[in-house]
Amino acid sequence: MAIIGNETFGKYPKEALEDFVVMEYSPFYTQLAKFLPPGQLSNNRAFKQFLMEKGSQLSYDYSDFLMMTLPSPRVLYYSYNDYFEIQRGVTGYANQLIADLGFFPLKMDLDVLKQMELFSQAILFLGLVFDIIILLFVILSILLIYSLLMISVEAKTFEFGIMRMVGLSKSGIINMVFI
Amino acid sequence: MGRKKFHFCLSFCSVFVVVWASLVINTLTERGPIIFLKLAESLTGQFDGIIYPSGLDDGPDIDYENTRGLFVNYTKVMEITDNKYNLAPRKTFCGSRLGTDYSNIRTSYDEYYMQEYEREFLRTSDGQTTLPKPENIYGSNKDYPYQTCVVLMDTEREREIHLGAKYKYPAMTEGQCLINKYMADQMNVVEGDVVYNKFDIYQNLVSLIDEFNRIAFDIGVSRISREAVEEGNDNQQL
Repeated sequence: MAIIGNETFGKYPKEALEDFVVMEYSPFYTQLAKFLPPGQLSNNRAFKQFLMEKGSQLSYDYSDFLMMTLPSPRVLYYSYNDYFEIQRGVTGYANQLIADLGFFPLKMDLDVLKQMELFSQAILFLGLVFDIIILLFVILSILLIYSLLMISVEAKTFEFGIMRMVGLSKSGIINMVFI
Repeated sequence: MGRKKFHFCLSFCSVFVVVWASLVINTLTERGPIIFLKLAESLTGQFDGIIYPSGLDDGPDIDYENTRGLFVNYTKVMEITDNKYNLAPRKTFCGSRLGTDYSNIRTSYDEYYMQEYEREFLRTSDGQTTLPKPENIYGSNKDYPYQTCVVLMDTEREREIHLGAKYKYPAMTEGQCLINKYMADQMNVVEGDVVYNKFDIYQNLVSLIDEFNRIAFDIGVSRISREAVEEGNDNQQL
């Protein structure tokens, strides 16, 4: 027995952290052979031998369910802002798998996609808020540039006024600006 | 001169802040789905899909318990798909009970009982592993106060397909299990202590009997009746 900390490592849902005991897959039936309940089964040496020899393979033949992950890097499938793009990628891959396995015998649940559907409204809302903030920044930038230009123009107007006052002609000021 | 410097600093800082904030917001907008993906993974686990037999109309979740005898043949699935999909098998036994015994006594007051237990444990262990003998498990009245879900997973395969990428432990050997810290504290056990699991494995045993009966004639042994296994809870202890 070993102890893991309070982490799931993404192996199972967080809510199940306090309930789960994890064991290795392949030696399970072999171990089972050694600890069969008392009675006909534990007394049957042939059955125990059968489990000891083929237990590892049989455990794979009798899985309860299969876990699927998307091809690496799987993050790419979820990197779109539009939920329907995410859905198209994930369900496309899942449909291909189910088509290969046969639609009748097996079903598939896409739990992360379900969660992403719930979050899609939040993603949209967040995108909208960020767009508004960027718009505000753009307006602020325009005002800032306008303000700096106006300060500069006012300073120049004052300087040109002084120059006119000390005797510079209109054409002289124009020449000064352009040359 | 001073006024110019002030204006320059003001404009530079303003532009810097606006550009920096725009970049941050742009990055957040781009990375938004990834942040939500991590959030979703923390709720559901780091896997994208669960494949299960169609007979389970209400569908499984991760703590799905196989009480209907419907299985998925992982070997066959991998054969059909030429190993091109990222799949890993799992088994789950929910409603299991977990308990422990004298091996986990830690106080000096109970030292005598600890030594007593060790003598008894050495006498009754199977000699090959550190596990007790079956008769000492089934024959004793142990307490199993904690309800759990026993999950079987293929550590190496799950590492290959990046299921739980941060999982750092090597594959467990026979007789080993992982429990979380909360459970360990509740039972007052530490790493290396013995814990006992009691669970319903009826459907698995019936399937194994059927599998055995298919070859029984060929290897010259008699078949086993399904009735050799009692249906109901807690018919298996490990």
